[in-house]
Amino acid sequence: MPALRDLQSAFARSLLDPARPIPAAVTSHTARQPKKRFDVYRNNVYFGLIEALAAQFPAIARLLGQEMFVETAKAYIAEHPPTSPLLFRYGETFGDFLAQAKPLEDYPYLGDVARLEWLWMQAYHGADHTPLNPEELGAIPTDRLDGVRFDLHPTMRLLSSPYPIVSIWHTNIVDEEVTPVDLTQGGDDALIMRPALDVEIQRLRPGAMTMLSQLTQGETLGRASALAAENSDEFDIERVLTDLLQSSLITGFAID
Amino acid sequence: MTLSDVITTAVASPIPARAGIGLKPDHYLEIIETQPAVGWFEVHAENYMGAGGAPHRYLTKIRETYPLSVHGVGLSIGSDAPLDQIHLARLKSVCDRYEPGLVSEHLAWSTHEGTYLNDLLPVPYTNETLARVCEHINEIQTALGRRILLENPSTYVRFESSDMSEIEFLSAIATRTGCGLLLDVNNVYVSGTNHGYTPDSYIDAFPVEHVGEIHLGGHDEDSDETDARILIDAHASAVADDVWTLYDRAIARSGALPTLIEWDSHIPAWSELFAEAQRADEIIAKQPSDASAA
Repeated sequence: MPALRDLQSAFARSLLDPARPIPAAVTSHTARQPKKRFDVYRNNVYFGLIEALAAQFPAIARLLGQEMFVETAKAYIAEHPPTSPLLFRYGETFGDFLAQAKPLEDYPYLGDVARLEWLWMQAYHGADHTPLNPEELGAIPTDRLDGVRFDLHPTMRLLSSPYPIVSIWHTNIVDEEVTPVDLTQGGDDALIMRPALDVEIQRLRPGAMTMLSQLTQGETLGRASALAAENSDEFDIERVLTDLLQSSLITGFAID
Repeated sequence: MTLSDVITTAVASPIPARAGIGLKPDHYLEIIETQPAVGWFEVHAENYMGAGGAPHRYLTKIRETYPLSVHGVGLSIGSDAPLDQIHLARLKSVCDRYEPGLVSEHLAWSTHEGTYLNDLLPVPYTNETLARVCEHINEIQTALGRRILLENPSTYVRFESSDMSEIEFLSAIATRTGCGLLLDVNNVYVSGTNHGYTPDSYIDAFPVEHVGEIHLGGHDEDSDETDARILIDAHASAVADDVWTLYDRAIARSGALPTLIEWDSHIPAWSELFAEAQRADEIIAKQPSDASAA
């Protein structure tokens, strides 16, 4: 009879559900059914995970305020407890959860802000990679540029939102004083990357998102920028290309 | 190679019998810039299991100057279920990368049926648990190619089914697996208070010959339904005076040993942590240098 397995199953069930009685196997030298002592474990689990989520999603914590954040985080933890001891990998679905949470339906941008913060944390812990020396890029003959395929930095992530998520994130995390963001200003295409130690979040120019995702898939610069121009009337190839060549995004290239 | 060969193999940078400090990102830059006179640092292994970035950059820099101890919190050694092989491989790669002088983990469980419960949960002290824990420690020591230290837990409840004492349980693990023990003096104080035994008697009975490291940390206080004190192992404050007194008693038995100051939340200024470490160093310096312990 595997008593240990049964005991741990009962313990885990009671731990995550405060409405359940404490496990029958548990006792203490004072109370026979030491609920307050068992609650120490429940508090440790919940408050440890709430702290972990607050560290992963500081802009969300700030936007919701202490009370609402704790309530929301508790509901998320009960539904989606972590599956890995690596807490920086906890919260991948927090954005989906916020986007669908009934009490938060008046704040539809929260989901995408959380997705942005999730990508920030993954870039923070992502693999290091040295960007290419700009001189090497300068050696590409201009008439061969269309045929270049770029290797982009492994920490690079892209996120497109109908809400101004870069402005919202920036004012809550970077600005000394939070300034109101006009939600009608339109959506943001966000670029997340960590060229060296610090994670950078930038708002992309129109069409740049299409171009970068095509480049990520191995398309040539010529083909990627043609698709970007098809998708966006405002696509300005010169400025987007200048941004790309001056960024630390490029780690290597090949010419067809 | 037998396990005892592994145990006696010299490590690259052994942990000295001095005070060490739990390394926190808040203090990376100050440590790198000022090179304080601390004997060694300890990190939670899980915080260095990402692929790259700032944590590895700073730890690599600090490791160039200081000996390092790696303390795991996520292996769930006390689980009935098999060890998570992916997590064990991650621990091995942290050890390969940083060549720590000591590696330790907890007598506790934290994962059940794929859910990570984010706390160090207690185990019943039975023969069944003993067999499972020993299997897991043998597996870890084989995978890492070295001896680990196992830490005595802080606990808030007991189990009806326990039929041996915590000390009997830990002694049996050390004897059967060849692992060492990490004596957390604050945990002794917390558990003693929580279960109604005197921490002094626990220290007096502890098999100090297996101890390779000591932990000191702060605790919080609460009370139960009967108004009895409950102490909580929070690591959110300075080491309590009673715990310093208990440390004197422990180190008088064990001889000089590496002693860690743990402070994991509400993290203070570096100067405050450093003062705690100096206090431990003064106590260690009064002990005979040829410790009989492992």
